Amino acid sequence: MATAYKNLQMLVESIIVSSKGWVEAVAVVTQDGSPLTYNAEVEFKPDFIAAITATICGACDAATDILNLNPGGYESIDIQLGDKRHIIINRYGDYYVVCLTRPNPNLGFINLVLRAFLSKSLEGV
Amino acid sequence: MKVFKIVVTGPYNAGKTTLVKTICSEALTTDRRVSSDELVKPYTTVALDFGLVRIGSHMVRLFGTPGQSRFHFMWRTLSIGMDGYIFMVDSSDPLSLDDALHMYMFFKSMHPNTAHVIAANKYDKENKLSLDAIRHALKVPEAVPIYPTIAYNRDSVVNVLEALINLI
Repeated sequence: MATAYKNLQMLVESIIVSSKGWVEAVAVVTQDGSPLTYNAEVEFKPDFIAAITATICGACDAATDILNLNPGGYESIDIQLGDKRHIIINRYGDYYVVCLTRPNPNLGFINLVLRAFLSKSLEGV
Repeated sequence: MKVFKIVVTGPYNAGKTTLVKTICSEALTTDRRVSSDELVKPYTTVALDFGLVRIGSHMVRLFGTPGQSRFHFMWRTLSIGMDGYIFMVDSSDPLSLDDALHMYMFFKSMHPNTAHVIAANKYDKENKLSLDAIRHALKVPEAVPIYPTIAYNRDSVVNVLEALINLI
């Protein structure tokens, strides 16, 4: 468990650093809405973000179920905020990785970074 | 410090959001205006209520569910990994007990071994039902305690939460 936690911390830091400033906050949260680890350059309330993330993902799971889409029918959720920031949520094993971007982000680059880090499973995760 | 995930659930207008707001200094709510003409209250929860509160040496993460059955998919989502739940009913509204029974059975069948208590809310109203009547209407097992509750009274809410934590 300690190894998994350390690896998740490294994952979060790596995403922040590799995004070259486009991602301002990253958190890894559980499906029951608890924060595991986070890194933020802006004000960030991890407990609240975790609860909201689990709720959003639960609602999307229900939507894919009711529309008879594939099991696990979505890979990521992208919410554009009024100030042109994005909240991007990706599944990562049994967890969710949630990112908050700067306004008007380079989404292609951010998605490349996320795909690079989230496509490989971490030891102990 | 032990952290508990506690879900506050129950039918529409039972007082779940009030409970979370009463006990948590900072609470997230997702209230939206009710569109029905049969206006029982102006706002209703559509996703969740959330707040953190310290009870003794424990930290409690409170998740409030929507009460309306059309949001039943959120009941399942919000109850993942919970340590216990408070099932809240409006003790002054006998007509709401049908919905309450349906919802209580849903939670009991989904989480048969999860600790829970019943909060008979609005117990300061004159026309409240007795605790025995609520137990009978909801088919609550004798082992599950029912507490008279006033959701806007902090001491009353703390009492219910402490009782639940002691059961976990």
